Amino acid sequence: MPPVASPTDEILLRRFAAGDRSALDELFGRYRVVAYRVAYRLLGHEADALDAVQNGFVNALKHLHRFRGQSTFKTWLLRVICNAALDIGRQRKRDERIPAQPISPTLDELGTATALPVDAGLERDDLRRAVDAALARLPASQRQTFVLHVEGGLTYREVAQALGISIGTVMSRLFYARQKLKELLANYQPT
Amino acid sequence: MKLHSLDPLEPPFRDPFAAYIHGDPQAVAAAAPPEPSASAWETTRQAIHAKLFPRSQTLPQPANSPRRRPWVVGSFTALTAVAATVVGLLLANDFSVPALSQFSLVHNTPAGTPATPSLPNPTTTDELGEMAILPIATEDEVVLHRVPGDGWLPIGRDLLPALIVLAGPDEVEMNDTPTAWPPVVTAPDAAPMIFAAKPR
Repeated sequence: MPPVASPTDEILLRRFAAGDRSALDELFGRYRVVAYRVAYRLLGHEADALDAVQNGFVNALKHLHRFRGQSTFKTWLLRVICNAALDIGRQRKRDERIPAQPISPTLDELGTATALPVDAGLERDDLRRAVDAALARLPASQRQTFVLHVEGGLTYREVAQALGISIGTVMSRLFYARQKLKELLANYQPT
Repeated sequence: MKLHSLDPLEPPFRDPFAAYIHGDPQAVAAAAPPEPSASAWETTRQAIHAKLFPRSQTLPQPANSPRRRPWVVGSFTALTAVAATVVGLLLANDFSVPALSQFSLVHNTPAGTPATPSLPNPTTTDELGEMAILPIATEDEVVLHRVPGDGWLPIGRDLLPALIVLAGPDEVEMNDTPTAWPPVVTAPDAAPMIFAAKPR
């Protein structure tokens, strides 16, 4: 018996537009993880990231008439998720009760505890925390571009579409983001 | 999970940070943030449903509501549509039957349901669609430390001559340029150029 093909995003969107709630569940199940990872890397906090995912899904599906089909639904969704994350970040900054930068330990705070012995390999948690701290140090535009490409899995062209910038600017931001991340993470690289 | 070292230049990378920075899927997965619990996901899902499908739309309609007479409205609408179509065809003096694809279906959306999205149109042919990288340097990617001599400074070359038409130096007129700018000199091969003030 041949495997049943999953419905395309377009089919799910048509079903959703017709009021089919199960289509929303399928879209949510399909993209929630990548949406969460992008939001988490921009905000550094699980609860805020989930808020961004929630607001992003709601806004993307409420304003589907603005989705021209010139990109994939995933690209469109991640664009809206990014905007939702930025809104939450700005709100957090206004409140001044939570730091504006992503909530992650600084590289200094990680300190030598994360510096690993030669050939010991790198534990998953250490890698994640070091990456969190380094990403938090990037300028917002570079962080957004890098996160959409690496965590969101978007191509250069898709990142350009999502952010409304040229491919050249995407490449430029990625270049500087990688340079900066290399510098920031250099102390933690196993020799 | 441990990431062990291999060659730093070829995946799987020796350095997990370098692997992550360059988007190696294994390293990206290893550095992924902790996923929310099932209950957190469920709470988020329910919140999305609540905002997109307000409860009011699911409430039963009162027995004496106008919904009891949909056939009146439907009949009137259908008659009007047919009459308008006939008049339109007569005025256009065209009695051929239009293709079905020329019509679009319009659904009556109950109040409270999500707005009908404009679904993607068939994507137009994009000759660059499959190109992940278009390696033309932009001005902010070039750092000029020192450029000896006078004259023009060509950077790069026309990578897609059939697709991108670049203006030649003789097609560009520069007025009121800062005196610090070097003189504009026509390039021998009309390559793309960046004119910039030289560091002093």
